[in-house]
Amino acid sequence: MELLGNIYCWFESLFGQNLAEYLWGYNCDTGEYNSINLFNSIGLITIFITFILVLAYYYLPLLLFNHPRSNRWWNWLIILLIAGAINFFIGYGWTINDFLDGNIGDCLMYTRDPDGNIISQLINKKDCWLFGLSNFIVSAMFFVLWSSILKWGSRNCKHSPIL
Amino acid sequence: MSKIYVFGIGGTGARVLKSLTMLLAAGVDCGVETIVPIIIDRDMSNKDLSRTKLLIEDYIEVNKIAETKGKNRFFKTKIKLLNGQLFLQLKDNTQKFKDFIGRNTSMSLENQSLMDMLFSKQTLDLDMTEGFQGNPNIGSVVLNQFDDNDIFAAFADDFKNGDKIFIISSIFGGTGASGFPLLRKTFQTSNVKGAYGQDLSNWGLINNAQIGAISVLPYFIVGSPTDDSLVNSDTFIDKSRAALSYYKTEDNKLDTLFYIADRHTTTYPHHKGGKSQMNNAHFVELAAATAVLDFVSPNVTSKNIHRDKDNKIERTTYKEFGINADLVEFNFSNLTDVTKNLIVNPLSRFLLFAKYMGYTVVKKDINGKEELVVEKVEKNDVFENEHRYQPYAYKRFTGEFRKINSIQKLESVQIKFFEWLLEMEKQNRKFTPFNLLSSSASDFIKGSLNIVKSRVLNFKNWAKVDNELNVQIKKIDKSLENDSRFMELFYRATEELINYKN
Repeated sequence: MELLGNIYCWFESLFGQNLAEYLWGYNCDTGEYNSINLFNSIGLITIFITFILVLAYYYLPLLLFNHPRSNRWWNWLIILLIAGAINFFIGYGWTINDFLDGNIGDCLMYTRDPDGNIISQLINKKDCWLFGLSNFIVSAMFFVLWSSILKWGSRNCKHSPIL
Repeated sequence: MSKIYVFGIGGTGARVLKSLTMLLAAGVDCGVETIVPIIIDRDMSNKDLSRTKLLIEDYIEVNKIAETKGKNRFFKTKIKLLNGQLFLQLKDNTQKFKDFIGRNTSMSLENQSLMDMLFSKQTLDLDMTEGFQGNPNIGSVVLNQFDDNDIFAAFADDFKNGDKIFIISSIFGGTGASGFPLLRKTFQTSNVKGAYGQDLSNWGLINNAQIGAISVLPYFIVGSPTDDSLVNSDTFIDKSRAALSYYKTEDNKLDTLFYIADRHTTTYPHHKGGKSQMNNAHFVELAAATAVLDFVSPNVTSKNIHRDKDNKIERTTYKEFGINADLVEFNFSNLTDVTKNLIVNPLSRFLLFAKYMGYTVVKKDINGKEELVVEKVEKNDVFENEHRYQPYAYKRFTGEFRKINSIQKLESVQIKFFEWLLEMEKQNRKFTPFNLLSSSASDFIKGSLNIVKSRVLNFKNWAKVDNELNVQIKKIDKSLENDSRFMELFYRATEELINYKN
């Protein structure tokens, strides 16, 4: 299933091709994409979290969810930002852990000279932040998608936002 | 379904009709489909009359959107005017009583002397365009011309088998005290002719129609006169006593006769009539209005009506109204169960509706004096503030919706409803069922009745109302016009939120 990876790759220019290769599951030892496709793992979690928050916003009869005073577009936007923030940290946290634990293959991390000395580092911490940002955007996209599907049955928020 | 023709005689008649209209607007149970009000008064400039007229005109407009084929009861009972008129205008417009009886034009000297013995000079010179100013002896002479009127012919034409008649009058004034027995007698006189000597259709049905009346005994007094008025409240009790002794002759001529009075009276400013005669609404008038509803209630027909197999009145049922405690300030808790069952839910629901539309009572400085007045307050106007966001209003009640005639009339009644409630609080015996200053959707009903759902899930205050409106909109017939749908929606929502049960 490459759909999620393709979506993330719309933002590949942000977090870099090498981190994208790692997330696609590229294995430096075999030269094939036979590791876990992390785009799918992170993407499914992102989709699930946005789904739960959208569902809560439109249907959960608790707190300010599905509430007659929470049906303004900015209330919806706040939930979108909360979902985005959660997914931002999931995207960042996942990649920075792999980065710090050395899980990313050497061929993707560095350019080395024939003696094996590192010429340049191809993936940096900044790329992890930027992947987090990409996940934020993907989260926002799914939030809009889920909203446009789920809102119609809501009692109090069906017209929030006006889409 | 049948009709009831309600004849309101004099200022009290007009004010009781106003209270009846308020109750019907709020959706009280009424045993007939249509009420036909007719006000009889010579003092047509009386402000109480004009206020009642404006209210009934607004009601009739709103009633057009109240037929929703759903649950709605607000404005449900039809009010119909005969020939489009509310007033039975007496054709004779003679100003002075002495001219009416022809003392100076057609009487012999002996008869003139007799008249001078029977009536004082002040009475003979009385200007009757401002009513009979507490003189039933004049009223009984002048009012003896009911049938000489186009409206009477229209009444006869309109009357159908099963229709009922009800007469509202006060006993301590002039017009009501004299008009009531005259009117009753006219209805039960056979072969009454119209204004042009023609036979009146259906008069046989009118002769045998079920007929009830309420006689309102003193419940207010008036201050010292500031003009040449003949009204004197010192005579109210004596006049009532005299009239009551005469009313004994009405026994077995009425199906039901209701009485009401209040010894804890309010003193009104003294006006002999005209535009300055505008008395605050009083609970006695509300209670008197419930007499009409009691008379037509199918649940108590066997108690109210006693007729033999030939449809002749066997005996008159006498009823009085009372509250549970003699308090100077009272609320729903102090009413009897029958009255509570009749009015608590409708009044509370309609008030919640009016409050949602932004109407409330505020304290205002008027000429250096703090007064309570009814106003639409922007921040309290939940409808205005929320209709852009709430699903119930989406593409239905937005834009110019509030400017359409039926909704404007509805709001006009809502303002008057608030004023009516506020006026009842200003009496010496105050009926204060609501905290009118409250801007809350929950704590506006006084007393120990816990009838408003205080919390629905996580929704409080007006969010609770909006939530209910959003629930109910899905249950309403989509083919209804928007204004009718609005009415049905608010009835359903307030019914869910306010439900008093004994």
